[in-house]
Amino acid sequence: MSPSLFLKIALLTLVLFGGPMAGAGQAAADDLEALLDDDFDSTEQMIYDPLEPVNRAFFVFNDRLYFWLLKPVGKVYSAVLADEAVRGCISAAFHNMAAPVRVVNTLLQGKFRQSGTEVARFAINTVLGAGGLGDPAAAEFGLKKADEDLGQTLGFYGVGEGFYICWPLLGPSSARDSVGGAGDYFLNPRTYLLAGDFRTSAGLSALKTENAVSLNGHEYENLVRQAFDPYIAMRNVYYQHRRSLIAAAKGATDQYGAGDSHDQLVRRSCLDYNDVVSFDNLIRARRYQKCLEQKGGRVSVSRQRRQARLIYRVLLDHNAADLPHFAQVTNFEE
Amino acid sequence: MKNKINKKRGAQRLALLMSLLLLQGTWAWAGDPQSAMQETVDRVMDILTDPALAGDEFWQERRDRVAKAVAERFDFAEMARLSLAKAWNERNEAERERFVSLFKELLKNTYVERLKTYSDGSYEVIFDKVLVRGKKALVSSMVMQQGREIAASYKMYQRGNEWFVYDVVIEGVSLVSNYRSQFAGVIQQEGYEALVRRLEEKVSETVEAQPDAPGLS
Repeated sequence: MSPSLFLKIALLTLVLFGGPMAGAGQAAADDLEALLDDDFDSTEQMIYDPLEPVNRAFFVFNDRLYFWLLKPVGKVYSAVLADEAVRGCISAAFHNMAAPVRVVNTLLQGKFRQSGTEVARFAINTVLGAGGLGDPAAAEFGLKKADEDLGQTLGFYGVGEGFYICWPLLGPSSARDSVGGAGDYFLNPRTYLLAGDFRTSAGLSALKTENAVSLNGHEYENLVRQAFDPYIAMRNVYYQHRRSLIAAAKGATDQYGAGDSHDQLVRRSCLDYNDVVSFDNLIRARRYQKCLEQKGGRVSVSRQRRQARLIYRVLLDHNAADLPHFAQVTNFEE
Repeated sequence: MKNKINKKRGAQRLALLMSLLLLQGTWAWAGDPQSAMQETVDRVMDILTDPALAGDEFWQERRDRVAKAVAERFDFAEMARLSLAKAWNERNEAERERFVSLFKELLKNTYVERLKTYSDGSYEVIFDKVLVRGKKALVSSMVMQQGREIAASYKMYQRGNEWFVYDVVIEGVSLVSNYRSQFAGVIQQEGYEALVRRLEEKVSETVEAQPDAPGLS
């Protein structure tokens, strides 16, 4: 692109958007028509809910259960265990105990590094964190907490949600996640440690529930209070959240696919390095792509990938303004 | 001969650098979405933790200032439109205006109120990622409070040389999408008029819940 063409575009942009307010508003409004089918929004797919009448009944049941039983008991529980940090510790211990669920599921998804992280977290938090009450793995070793379950693993391999289910006591789920939840039950050591002892097992479940209510109950209350239709609001939140988890899991491994366009590749490498990507960087990558196109088929795909990765490292290591260096790396003069 | 080639290369390099610089200048003029969002978040944080306005008696004042700062960055009208989605096209100008003002009031009352818990400054916001595609951007941030991390992303669009938020995504849950599903449900079951009535009720409810709040203006 020649500088003169650039000037023209810049001028055009000025005329379109720097003009009188009415004109700017109109141009923006036209552009916004496109927002509904949003690039970043993948959660607007239909939710299949053939059991809606039954689900609604169970939703009301759970809601009553919350306000009539769980919340009052939770108040007493919070009064006894006034320190929120202590309740946080109990929640952490339950999370820690379920580590095998996450290890197995990360393995099933081929995320071996994350499996290693989970094993290390379990070891560190059990030994140094007093049986998982604390989280020194995150605080001291930078090994972050994550959530994995069989429902996500199934979703990772392309299994759809099926239909929506609102279980009594357990709350929102889908056909897929219910199957996953049943599997996870058998991966959780709690199931085996307390196999013969129903009372202790039930007591622990009650403790876990009450503890969660005391910590996160207000979020549920906010949702219900603000909603126009709490049932739909909850269903939507559940699906959106699950879909985002699965999308993130897919994005983490599905990188540098063979059929990727350069554009996708660039975007992936940006995400990969977890770095800030400005528009300038993307523009530069496009220029680089153009340069490659001019060379025809003489540059191999693997080389392109290497270059794309390299380009980002350089751009991020050196200031983006370090243009001569950039030109050198991108082989503009080759 | 060799010298001539070097000169030519030098000229090429100069042209390249100039075009790149020009390019950068153009986009710098457009502003970037992350700094825009960061500026708004910083402003809100400053207001919430302002020692001169500390205490419950000044909550009213703080809330109004926060609402003002937020309104400058968030395009509530666009959020209302996107939440109504298909039903928006079937409404006339007056209905749209009424809906936007109700929706704006609803968001203000429900969400600004919830920021009260952030007044002690016991949290931190880190902007970790930004994706820009044309005139749209996705700005990601992490809110850290008492060892908990909450992922909050802002979908933004560019209008003129400013960036505006048109959706907020918390832990993968989009606010607009959530309202859209609920509004569609209410309209399908009871019709648009019922939705407006419910909105009016909600707005007055949230105001009643705060006895010191001013009217609906």
